Amino acid sequence: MAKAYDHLFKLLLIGDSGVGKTCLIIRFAEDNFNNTYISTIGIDFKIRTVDIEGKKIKLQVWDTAGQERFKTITTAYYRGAMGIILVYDITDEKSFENIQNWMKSIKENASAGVERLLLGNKCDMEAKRKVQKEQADKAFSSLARDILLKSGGRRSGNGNKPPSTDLKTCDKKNTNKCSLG
Amino acid sequence: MVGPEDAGACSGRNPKLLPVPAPDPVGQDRKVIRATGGFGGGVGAVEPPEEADEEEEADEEEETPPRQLLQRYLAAAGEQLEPGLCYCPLPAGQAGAPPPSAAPRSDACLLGSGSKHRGAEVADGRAPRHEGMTNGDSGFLPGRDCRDLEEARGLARAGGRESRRRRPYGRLRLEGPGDEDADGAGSPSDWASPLEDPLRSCCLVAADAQEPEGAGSDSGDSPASSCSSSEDSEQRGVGAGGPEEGAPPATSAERTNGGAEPRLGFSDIHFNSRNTFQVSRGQSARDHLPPAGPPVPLPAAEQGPAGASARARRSGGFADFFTRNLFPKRTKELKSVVHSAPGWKLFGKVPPRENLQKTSKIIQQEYEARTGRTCKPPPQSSRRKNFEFEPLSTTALILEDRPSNLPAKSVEEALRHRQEYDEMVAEAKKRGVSVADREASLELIKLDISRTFPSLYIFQKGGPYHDVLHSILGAYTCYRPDVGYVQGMSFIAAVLILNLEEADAFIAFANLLNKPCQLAFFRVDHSMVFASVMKDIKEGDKNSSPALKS
Repeated sequence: MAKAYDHLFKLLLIGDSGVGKTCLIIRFAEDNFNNTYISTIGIDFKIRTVDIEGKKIKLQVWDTAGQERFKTITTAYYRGAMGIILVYDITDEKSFENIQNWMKSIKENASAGVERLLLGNKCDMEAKRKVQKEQADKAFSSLARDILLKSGGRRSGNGNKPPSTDLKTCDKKNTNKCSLG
Repeated sequence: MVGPEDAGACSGRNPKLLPVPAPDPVGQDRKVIRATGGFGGGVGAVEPPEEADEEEEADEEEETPPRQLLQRYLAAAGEQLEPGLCYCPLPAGQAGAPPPSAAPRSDACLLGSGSKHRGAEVADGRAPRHEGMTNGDSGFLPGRDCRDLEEARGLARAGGRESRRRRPYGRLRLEGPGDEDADGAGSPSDWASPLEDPLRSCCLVAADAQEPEGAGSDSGDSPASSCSSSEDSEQRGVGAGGPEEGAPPATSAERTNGGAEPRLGFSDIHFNSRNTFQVSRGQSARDHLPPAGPPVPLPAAEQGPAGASARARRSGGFADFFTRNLFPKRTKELKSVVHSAPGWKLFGKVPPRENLQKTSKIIQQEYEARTGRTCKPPPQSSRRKNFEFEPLSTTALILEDRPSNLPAKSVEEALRHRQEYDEMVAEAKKRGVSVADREASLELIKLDISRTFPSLYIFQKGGPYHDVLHSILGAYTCYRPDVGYVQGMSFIAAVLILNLEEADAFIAFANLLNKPCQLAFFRVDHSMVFASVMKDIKEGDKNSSPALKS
């Protein structure tokens, strides 16, 4: 049988607890959203196949638990990841500050040269924004090749474009990098 | 609401007893008795000031105590997460011989006073003792030891702390045991037992922590020194407790009992319980006693007006004796409980030694050290089972002096044990939960509560069980800072909340998580999980799959 995909990319979502990693992954894989996400325990994953430039890309996105306690578990998945998405909550400054810790964790556990993507979630809550985009740009300018994008996990109201689009884009780029790399 | 009701039930039993805040010295004994008398009640008795109110309250409410305890835990967590409430720096228990004697007392007291004290404890619970709670947790375990030590020494101070601690016990127990009381001591003991183990461990830890901090070297070098350090800590704690207790005058009955004399009698009882087995029995007996306490035949003299309090106290002692005979089956249960006993003290809410507040790291270290160590041989076995994953767990006794009937350690052995202890401490530090971690846990709890069974719409903010869930998780974080809050716990707690009263839910929750497997999981102890899984696999191989063998 022919393979159902041309490329398989393993992506990993990391970030503080409650920033919306699970929301993102579900939005990405199933394109829906609800308010009843539960805390991820240990690790989970979703799969989505996308077409990029005529090729079927199977994305295996691993969703990790944000709690520090699970780090020993989640770090085991760093090495196999081809791309790591760092997620923070734009309404939670601490989650942004902790990105540095997550970066450190990547450095320690992930394979060298892994693609990294910084993602500010909950852009639909602009009124409560605590982390300005410029901050992120400046703080992580070192992530030259990476994309900084803000994503709103939920539809904040009628007419608002689902953030899933942004995430797709980001993943596409990431996958491209992976494929190129 | 519940509290008052419970108190009423309690009052029926021994409302007077609960309120009795004996003088420091006396208070200890009394407190001990109280604590022993009723899981819930004993604790209440501990705090003298509130006694009158407590008595009334106790009469009114029995259930409240557990809730109050939880609340206290929560409050403590919020306020004192760092200090490691549970970590009472009471090494006394570890210290060894002296503590054991004291322990029996507390047990006895608890047993006897249990039923009566429940009400009082409840009342106490109502009273603002949040600080006490946290301290109490730590105090519980250590408390007993301290008490024992104190008793042995004839210290009056210990009483105060003990009383507090006891109250918590009483409260917790009250809820769980409350039903049990009617049924019999057995059920309470069951609850208590799981809790007790953690508590004990906590106590041990506390002792360890103390040693590492300063006394540690001494203790390591000479077991005796460790004991002394623990005693000192206990004394400190006692002193702290004493003042508080003093403020709230003990009930007339308690007073009548007098500080020193009652202590002595109680102390005797406690001695019996010191040994793990004995303790377990005693505890179980105590547990049973609380319920049975009232029925338990009390000396005629005790029955007098003041006698009520005396009864409670004594009943604890008697309870120990009687319980065994009266509740043989339960005794067995108790034994099992003993193995997992740590929880007891937690419930007991032994007031932590305020003076001895340690950092979370220290506490963790102590705790781990404690787990490694066991003053009592029987507990060790149980602990070992629970903490197989921990390195050097068998060295629990490392720093302990050997019983007088055994040859003393050689210098080399003592040094080696010291080294092993240091290694354990170092390991504990690695694992140690920092204050920041604990705070993080609390934040995470807030975050996760509303993410628990969201489809039910009862745990969300403003929902009927939001606060309950928060309380239980927060209380557990205080109860077992070494475990803290781990995502996933909220679901377990939520299920329990849906089926049990708050206090019962907490007890069940604490006991459930105290199971080796759950504990290993929530501590994310891979080695332990792996070990247990491999064990299962091996066993499975033997039974069925030869293929796996190859």
